[in-house]
Amino acid sequence: MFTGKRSKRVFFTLLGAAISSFGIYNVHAQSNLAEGGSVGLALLAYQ
Amino acid sequence: MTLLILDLIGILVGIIFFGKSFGARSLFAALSFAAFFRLYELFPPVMPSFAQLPWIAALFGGVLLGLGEGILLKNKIASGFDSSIALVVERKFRVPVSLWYLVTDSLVLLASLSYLPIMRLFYTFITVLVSNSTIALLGLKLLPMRARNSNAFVFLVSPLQELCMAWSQRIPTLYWRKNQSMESLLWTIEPLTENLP
Repeated sequence: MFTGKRSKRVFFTLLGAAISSFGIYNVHAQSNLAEGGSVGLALLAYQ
Repeated sequence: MTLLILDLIGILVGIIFFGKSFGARSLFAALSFAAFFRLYELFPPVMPSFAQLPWIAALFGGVLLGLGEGILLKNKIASGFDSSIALVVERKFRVPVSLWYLVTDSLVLLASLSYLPIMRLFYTFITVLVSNSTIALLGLKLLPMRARNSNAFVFLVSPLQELCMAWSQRIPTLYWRKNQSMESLLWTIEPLTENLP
């Protein structure tokens, strides 16, 4: 099921998601920095 | 919830242009992003708070975000509304993803000006710059710059060597002796005193 190209893609997806959500939660949210992109847009709509 | 709706809209737009497999990949990415976020939320923050040092937070966060997003984008996976739209724009109008990100992020930050103090947005803008240059770097194919006898490493290191030599009272000079070939034309560093009569 998870062989070759597909498993590589799944791995990179998980890696990318892990790194960027780590950045947002552990660095940005702790230091009260705002967000750009869709997260920022969602925050803007939430306000 | 708003984020989820936005992501779904973005992924739908992406499906129109890239097909169903793109949709499946991006949905998986968006869900794993949310799952990781929930996972981190279960624990107290691992990193110390950089609230007193927003510069460091902006640089470090920018590198992390750029790395994560860059890995996803390099594999043509969108993790949300913005990246999906950015990939579509890249395909349709040949605009680099990092450039498009810079424009959209700046617009969002300008809009956020309505409810956030300007200094927080300033540091966030630094994060945006750093993360976009990280994405741009990841997008590049980092081929070694091969000149005849040198490579990118030498280009990076030689100014440092010069500085070190100047520091220790040596002066770098560019030599080209008559019997020397063009290929061996190099920065030759010798102590100045040895050349004095």
